[in-house]
Amino acid sequence: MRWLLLCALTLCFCQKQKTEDPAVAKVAEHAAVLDVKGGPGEAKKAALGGESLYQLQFALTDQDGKTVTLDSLRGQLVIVSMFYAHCPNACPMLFHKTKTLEQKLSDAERKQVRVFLVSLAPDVDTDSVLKGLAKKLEVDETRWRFARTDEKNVRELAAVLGINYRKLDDGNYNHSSVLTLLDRSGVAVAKMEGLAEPVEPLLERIRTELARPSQK
Amino acid sequence: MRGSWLTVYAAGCLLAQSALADTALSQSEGGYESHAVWIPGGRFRAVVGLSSDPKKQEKDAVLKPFQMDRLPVTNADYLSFVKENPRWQKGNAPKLFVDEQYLAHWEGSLSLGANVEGEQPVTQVSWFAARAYCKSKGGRLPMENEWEFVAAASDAKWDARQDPSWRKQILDWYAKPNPAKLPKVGQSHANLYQVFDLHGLVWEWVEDFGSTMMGGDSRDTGGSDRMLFCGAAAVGAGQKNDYASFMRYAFRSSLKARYGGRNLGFRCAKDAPLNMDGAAKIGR
Repeated sequence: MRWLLLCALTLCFCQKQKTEDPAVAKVAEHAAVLDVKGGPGEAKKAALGGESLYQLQFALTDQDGKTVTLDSLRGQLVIVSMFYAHCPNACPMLFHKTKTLEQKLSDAERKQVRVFLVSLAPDVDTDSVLKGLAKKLEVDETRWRFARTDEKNVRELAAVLGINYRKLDDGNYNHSSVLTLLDRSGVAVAKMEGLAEPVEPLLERIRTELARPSQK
Repeated sequence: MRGSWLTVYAAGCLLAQSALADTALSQSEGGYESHAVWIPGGRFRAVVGLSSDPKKQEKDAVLKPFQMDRLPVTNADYLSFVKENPRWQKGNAPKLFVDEQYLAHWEGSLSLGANVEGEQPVTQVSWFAARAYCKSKGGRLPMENEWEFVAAASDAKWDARQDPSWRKQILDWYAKPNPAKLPKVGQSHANLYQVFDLHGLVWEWVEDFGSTMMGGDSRDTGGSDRMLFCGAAAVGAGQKNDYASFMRYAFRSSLKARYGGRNLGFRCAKDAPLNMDGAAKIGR
């Protein structure tokens, strides 16, 4: 009986998370503002409101061993998520989903989209592991970055993206799969939470963002 | 659903004062070190396990020695922090890191106002803000395991989690309605580690608050949620009768890092050398 209560309790927490996630609400609100007013000035204003992920200043290392910051993606549309290389189930699906999404874009559209994936397991996902993964997945490495950073930064990025994770005793991770779309100023404008979700809303959002004149 | 959430929230989130003031801590002075105690670390079996296979025997986590604040961070502490760090003042803190609840109960960005006392625990602070505070003091937020390790102690047992009367005491706190006014810190009994207010005052942020995912059990929410999670199998809960601990894990896992709850505060921790000469040595 007590166990049932626990389940009910957990369910309530989950429900709360889904319906009243302030980050999602914020993104929706932000999106609404953009949709109504449209112009490039609005996007700039939103960035000044302190919602840009490019406020995260830490350095990462990519699959080519190069030091990068999130900020270096400024001006591009970016799909961000987190993974670990030896993940047996969800991560391959996450990669597949991202590739599927990309394939639905035209060549010209695709060129303007970056994919930035950060490892949850920096202790084992070395530069060479990341490079191997990029090769194995046969992705366009001019646009796809697989990156690692230290544990504290991983936690901060995960918190910003709303990704929960837990390292298990066998080296695997439990983690939520969330794809986040950043606009050109680094503000999260759309999310796909869970791998069972359709890619279309994200796709639509990418096209909306691409239709906006870029800010130099 | 919303109704039941609110009920749980009322029962669970709103902690009440433990009205035992006889061992109340006298006003503490000085910097971080004098606020903290040295905790020896050791083996700890969390209520939520680490095994990828729910049928497998859970292993204990091994904690290194660390220091932990004896008291939650107070409004006065946090006020001095924002005076020195304008970036974290109400109104300045970036929206990426705080929600609209951030310090909303304070009168101004640099004043508490008549309804907020300096010695009350600071609440309505986000995980990012709590982390920045601890970093400014040379510390960090406690890991969930560290927090639970210290919070497992009563004033009589190092690990009181199997003690029915201790459990009942905590659950009674969870069930009590929220007091109109939050009590001051340090008014309750210290536990054996000489740490105060882990239970009965406010909920507290931990560094890895989002690491518990209640799943992998046939009785869980199932369906599409499963697609959110990686790993062959999800975490199964350990000591299933430790309802009080389980509630804390469930609550923490429901948080978002920008969230600033009315009853959500924090305290800091710090890595520690194996022995602390001159510091209070408290432990098993």
